[in-house]
Amino acid sequence: MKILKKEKNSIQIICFPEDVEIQKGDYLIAEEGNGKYALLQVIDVNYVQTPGILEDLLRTMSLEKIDTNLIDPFDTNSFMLLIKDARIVSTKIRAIAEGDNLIFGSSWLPSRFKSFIRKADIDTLYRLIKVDGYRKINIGKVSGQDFYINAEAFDGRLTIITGKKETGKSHIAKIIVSSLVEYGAKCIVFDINGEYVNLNKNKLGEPNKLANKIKILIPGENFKVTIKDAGLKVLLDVLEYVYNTPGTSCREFARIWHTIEHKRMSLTIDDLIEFIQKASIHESVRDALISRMLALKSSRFFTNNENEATSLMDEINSIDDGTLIIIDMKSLIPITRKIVVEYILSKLGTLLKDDKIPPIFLLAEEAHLYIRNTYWDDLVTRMRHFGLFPIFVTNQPDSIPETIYRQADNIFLFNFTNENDLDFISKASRIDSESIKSIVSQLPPKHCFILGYVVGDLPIVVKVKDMDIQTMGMTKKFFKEKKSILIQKML
Amino acid sequence: MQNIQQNSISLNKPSLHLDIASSTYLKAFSNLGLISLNKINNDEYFFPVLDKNINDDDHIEDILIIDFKQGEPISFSIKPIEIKKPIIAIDTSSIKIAENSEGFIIAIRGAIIHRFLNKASAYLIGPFPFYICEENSYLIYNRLRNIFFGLKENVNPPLLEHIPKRIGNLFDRWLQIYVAEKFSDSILLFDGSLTAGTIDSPISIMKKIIEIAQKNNNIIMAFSKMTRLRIHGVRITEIQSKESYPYVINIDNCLKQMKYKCFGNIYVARLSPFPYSYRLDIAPFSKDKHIESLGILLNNDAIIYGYPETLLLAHVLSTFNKIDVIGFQRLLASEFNFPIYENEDIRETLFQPF
Repeated sequence: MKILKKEKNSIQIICFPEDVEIQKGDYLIAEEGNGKYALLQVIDVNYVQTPGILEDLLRTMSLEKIDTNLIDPFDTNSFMLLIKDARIVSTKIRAIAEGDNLIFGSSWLPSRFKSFIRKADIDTLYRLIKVDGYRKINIGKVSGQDFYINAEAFDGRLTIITGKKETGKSHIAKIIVSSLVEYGAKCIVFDINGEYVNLNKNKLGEPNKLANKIKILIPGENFKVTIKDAGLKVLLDVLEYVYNTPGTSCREFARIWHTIEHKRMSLTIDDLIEFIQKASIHESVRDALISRMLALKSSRFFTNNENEATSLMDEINSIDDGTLIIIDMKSLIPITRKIVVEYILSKLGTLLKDDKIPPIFLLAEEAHLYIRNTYWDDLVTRMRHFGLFPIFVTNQPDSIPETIYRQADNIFLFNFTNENDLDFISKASRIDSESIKSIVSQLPPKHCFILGYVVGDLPIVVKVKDMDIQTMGMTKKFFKEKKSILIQKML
Repeated sequence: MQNIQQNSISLNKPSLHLDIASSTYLKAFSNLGLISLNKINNDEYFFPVLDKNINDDDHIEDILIIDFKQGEPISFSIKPIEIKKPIIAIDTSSIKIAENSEGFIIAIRGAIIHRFLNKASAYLIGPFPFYICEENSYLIYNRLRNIFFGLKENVNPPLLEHIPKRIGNLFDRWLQIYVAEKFSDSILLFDGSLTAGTIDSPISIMKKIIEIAQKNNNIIMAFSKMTRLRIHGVRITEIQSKESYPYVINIDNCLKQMKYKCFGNIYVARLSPFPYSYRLDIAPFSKDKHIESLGILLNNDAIIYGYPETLLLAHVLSTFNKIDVIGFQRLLASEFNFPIYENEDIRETLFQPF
């Protein structure tokens, strides 16, 4: 392999197919033997435009039409085939290093003639990544070798997992979350498809290591809260953002709430309805508030019975050594889902601020379906400081605001083929758009392009490992019989 | 490596089976090339050469002298004749691959194309490398004459710069003998002319080719794309006939004096509506048979710009392209350990900064 040319941050390498098996995302090292080396990431592999290739291809095509016998005593044909098949490998300079230390901003370049180019092994990458922490998470394989990231890389960080449908987003999310919980972390999952509820079982349906650490909360069933616990702020947010209640009505509602509090009356949803009915307010405001209170009541998420209510704080703190709370929102209608999320996020903010719970990881799948737009910035700035570390999973990258991507510490990218998605991702991510477009568009299923802090800012393509859990993320299908069974039946 | 191996790159069973790979002549040719390479001192650097192929048919035919008008050219209209006959075309090519201070390495390749009943088969023979320098040119050239034609008397070799072309010609003539022997009742298409009398086309050899062809009832048609033959200052390929194409014009009557002997009859052939004419030498047999054979050729081969497609294919397949040359240079470096370095352009070195 030889360096052909450099343009800006790109280096083109010329090589024969036999030289090394290269895939997009692989790392190459160009070194001269003096300890310094350039770490180059492969973003594309193309054919060399050899002089005369057109006429040669035409000649080869014409030969295909006729029976051809080669009498080639020196076997030159194999050499010529090599030349014809020579590859040009497009790479990006990710770092210049000396020993185990990255030298940022160095303008050093390896010699075009003297440098030796080889594939970087996983150990070299580990030595360079240097992310603090010792809690290893085996996430899959890189170049056939196990690849580990540190659980600490998610601590205090914003993580985004995105890719098109059925590429393995939820799978990696489950690996990350279950590993974090195994290391004693507290996690909450907004599970809109009910696909995390079986994380406590292995593939055979037997309890696994997480069996005693998982709590499944189903809003309206084993997860109910009182109006009082929710508080005025949550209810106002629900009225404003979920039910689109006009400002005048919200102000009246706040006034009524304060009145009830002042009078130290009991504060249930039925009490609220009764008080609103009697309050001296405009009829239209009364109607607006009553209808919304009835809607809240019908959600069954709010209860009048304090004994029936769930304390989120207690649920989180109930297990010391790692807790995974799964909010199963599979059966909820969109409005109730939004109410539940408003409650939980608000409650978590309060509990974290008051140090009543330890810092917690929040995994939110397709968060745009239930998190209001105004909450994004709050989540990734204010609440992150209190100790809420979000992991967003989505198959619609533009559903997450661009500003959130810019603040993301770790990005796990799965395959995208849609040009618009690629454009969006490449604009928003932390590396050059050429790399994103070239690598991400070609990622096979269950292969992930990891960017950011978790990989020490050396983007890496990982083949995500299998997991011994009962996966529920599979889409239900009508035609689910195996071909062999079908044939048997037909016979 | 030294053993000639035959690799079939087609999965289909070829319709043509030739024993050329086991020919002792070819083995001797290959071995001589190998011996010439073994003489190279590996300490000496080679510089790669990207030269032009030498397979043009502009060799000795142009030395033919045509004087003033002796007689009129005679035109013959050609009509396709529906007789099925195999068409066999041969061409060879040689090229300089690398050079050092003493000489250069050349590569030679030949192609035999067989076409019958719309099915074509090809034999690509070579490439064969030779290292030629002043010291060994005498030996190699005379040894090749001896191998291919059994010629015992030694001659002075051509100038070193002409050696690639001359060795290519020897190989070409040998292939012509080979196909003349192996095929019968066929039309043999050669690139060039049937002129003889030079050191690499001795009269005895050309005569032998014609005799073998005649014995096997083959007819030879040699097409020259380039010619300097003129009648009254007009290039013969510019002569027009009143006949509608396809036609040939026999110019034997116009010839007065010949420095070299030409076997067969000389025609100007225009076989397609395109305004391209070629010098065409046909032998053996009579002119009537020639005209009939041209009719059979039209029926059995495609004519591309007035040139037989089978011969065109032989030319294309024997010609070295840049990739062939680069691949061969790599072979020399890796298999023979010849140090090949890029030759720096002295003009560029001197003047580039300015």
